Amino acid sequence: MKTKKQLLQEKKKIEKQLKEIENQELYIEVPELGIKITKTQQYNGLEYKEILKEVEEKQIATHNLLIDLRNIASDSNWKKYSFIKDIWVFVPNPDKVAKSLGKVAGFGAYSYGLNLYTDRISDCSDSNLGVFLFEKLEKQK
Amino acid sequence: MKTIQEKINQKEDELKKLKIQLEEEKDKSEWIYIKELKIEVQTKINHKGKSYDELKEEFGEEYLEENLPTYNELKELRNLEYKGKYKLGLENTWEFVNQEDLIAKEKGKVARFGADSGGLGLDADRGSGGSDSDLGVRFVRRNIKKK
Repeated sequence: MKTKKQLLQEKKKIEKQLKEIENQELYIEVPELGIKITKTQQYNGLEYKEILKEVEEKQIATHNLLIDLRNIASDSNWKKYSFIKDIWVFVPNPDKVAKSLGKVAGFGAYSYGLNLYTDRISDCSDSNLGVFLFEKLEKQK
Repeated sequence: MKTIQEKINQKEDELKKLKIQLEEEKDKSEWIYIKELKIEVQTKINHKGKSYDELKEEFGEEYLEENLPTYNELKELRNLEYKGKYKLGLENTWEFVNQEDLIAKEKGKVARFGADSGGLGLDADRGSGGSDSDLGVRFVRRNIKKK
């Protein structure tokens, strides 16, 4: 018969495994950039400040990261990372002027170019506007 | 004893030297070294009213690709200017930058950087024939060895 402590430990272990399985579904590894990134936009429809209640800003993909990924995807003729071709996301605001004014930054990329604007009002949202989350890949020994 | 013509020639030579020195001084005042980025950059935008195609004709594509600032350089410079360092007019500007989006580049699109008191914008999807009286260009010099 298992003790309560043992059962709790087992529960914790299974929850961790579950999280790992969910993450495997959610993320794709990008060894070229040493990261893994969500395969789809997350939190579409939420305002940026609402998204920041769910995740830390450092988890949100920057426009530079997305441009690098897009160029890698394009180089492979969209055989890799094709999910990055048409996107519309919030990115951490790179402009200190706009950030000081409480503005948020939006980044869009599509089949013939991209745009970044850092002066969007903070309460904007759209059902197609979300974020990409990323994590650094652990270095293999 | 010098003839009148010789005196004229001498003065013309002196004038030419002075003009060259003046140009060099003017050129110096237009460039500033940015130690944080290890680049030199022009303090103002020039060639307003010209399209990217016209600039390409004037400077050559290779020169433009090597010497146009990147979006990230201008963004960093604007943030430095906001902190009170340097005076580059990046609180209000509109200028061409290096096209770093390979998809847009392949389609012949050019990239423009715009900024004002509310924020900045990067448009990497513009036609190369577009121009505006406020849209210009500034160049950067990289690989500068300064202590």
